[in-house]
Amino acid sequence: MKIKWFLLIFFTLITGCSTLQLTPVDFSWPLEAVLKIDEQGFVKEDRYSLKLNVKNLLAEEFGLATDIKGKTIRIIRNSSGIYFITSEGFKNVYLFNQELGNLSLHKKILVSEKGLQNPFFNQRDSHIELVDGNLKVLLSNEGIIGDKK
Amino acid sequence: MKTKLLLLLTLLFSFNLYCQSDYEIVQSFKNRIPEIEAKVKDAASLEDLQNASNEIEKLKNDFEIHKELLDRSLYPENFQKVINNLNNSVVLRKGDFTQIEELQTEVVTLRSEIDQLNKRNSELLNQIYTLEIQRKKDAKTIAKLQSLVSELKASLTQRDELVFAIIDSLMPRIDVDPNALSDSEKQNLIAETESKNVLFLVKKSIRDNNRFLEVTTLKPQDIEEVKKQQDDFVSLWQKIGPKLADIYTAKPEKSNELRQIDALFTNWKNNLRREVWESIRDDFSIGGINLRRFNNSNDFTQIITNFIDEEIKSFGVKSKEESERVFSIFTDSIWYKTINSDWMPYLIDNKMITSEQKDQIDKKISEWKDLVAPSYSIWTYILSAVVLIIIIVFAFMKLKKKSNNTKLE
Repeated sequence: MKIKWFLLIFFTLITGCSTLQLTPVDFSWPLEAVLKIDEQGFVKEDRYSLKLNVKNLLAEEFGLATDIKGKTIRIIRNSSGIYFITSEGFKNVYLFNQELGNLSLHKKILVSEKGLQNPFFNQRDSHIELVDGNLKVLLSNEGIIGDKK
Repeated sequence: MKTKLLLLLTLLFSFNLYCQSDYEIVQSFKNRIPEIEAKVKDAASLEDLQNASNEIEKLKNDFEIHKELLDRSLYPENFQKVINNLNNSVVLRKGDFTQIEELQTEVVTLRSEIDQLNKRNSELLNQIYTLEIQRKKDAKTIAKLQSLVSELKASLTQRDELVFAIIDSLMPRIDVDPNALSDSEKQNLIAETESKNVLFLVKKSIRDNNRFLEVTTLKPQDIEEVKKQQDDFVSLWQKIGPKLADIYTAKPEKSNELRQIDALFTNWKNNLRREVWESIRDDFSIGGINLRRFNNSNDFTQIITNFIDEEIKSFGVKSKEESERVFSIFTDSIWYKTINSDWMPYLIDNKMITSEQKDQIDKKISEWKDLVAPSYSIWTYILSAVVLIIIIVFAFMKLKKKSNNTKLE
């Protein structure tokens, strides 16, 4: 009897506390954005009203002493809302999740030991395609899908 | 075998397609749009426009395969909308060329008419000048002069209207912000302005109008017409002159010509004002009153009041009849008949004289009138009548008394 009451109260509380969710949502950008980094480390994407500072990202990839002036980053968002960021010279693709007031690192994917030379992203169905010369990989929220080509 | 080859080709094609950067595809499409837009804008002929049109078709064919990507990426535009916009710009530009071609044909006709009118106007100006300088003008000469002046006036107006039409023909090309014109558009416009000989025609027109003012004596209604024509011309030139000046900045000789035109307009305006004062002086002169030259309201007021002061001073010195004759000519034949009724409204409307100056002259005339032809009050007439009656009564009584005495004797 006690157990029954406990279960009733428990499920009532669980149902009452669950947040309202709207699904499905497609956050995907049809096209990557190629953004120039300004002297303070900011990049700005007008179409999606996105402005962020990438100084920490560059420090993570190249070390603190890196010169950011004149560099560009390539950024694209997949359908589930994860931002994929990389750039020329990067060894990794960084996946960020949007949170309140910041982008937090969701995953760091090593894609080239030598560093990418001329990378670009394409939006491909539910995945993000990364191409750099002969390198061509499909990326999901969890990492590289299948083998590198 | 054939199917396998086809499959291989499709796979190769798909591989290539997928190895392209979507971003680069969109950028390359976007980059070609302003290039085509510039070609449409700078097109100097219908042939250039056809080339631009072919480029639009090529752009469409090259990128049709990426339509879906472009539709998603060109927000708020889309692929078809961009192609349609480009095609519409070609259609609009074609309209300009059709209009320009029509205007060019019209201009050739206008130029020939203007040449004929210019020749005729020169003849008329010379004939008028010859008649004007004759010292003695009989009725026949005056009539001929008047007829020539009206013929010349009509001919000048007709010619100016044709010049206006030529300037108007430049409007579709020039009525834009000169800074927005490309170098080739500026060159085309300069070539068009020069082929139509616009600067020469404008200068010729203003010079003829100036000469017309110099050789003729005009009535207020003529002056009104000339003033209106001048205002129209100035207003049209103000629309085109500054823009031509911007376009001609690299051509000093043309800039100089434009400055000459501005100076001619100023001269024309000054001449018209001078002509008004000259014509007023001529009206006095025709009546037999010769005044010193005046070119502004201050001189005019001063000279008129000085003349009256002189007449007032000489009243009693010269014969009364002479004083009255001058007063009568000045007031009845000239001032009230012509100046006050015809010229004064024009002078006041065009702010060439102030109402204070007019009042000053009226006051002086009134002062002169009181001296030469004093007006008496009604009491003066009543008193005179009473005195006359008394004299008559006395005379009658005296006569009656005299008659009675004669009877008694």
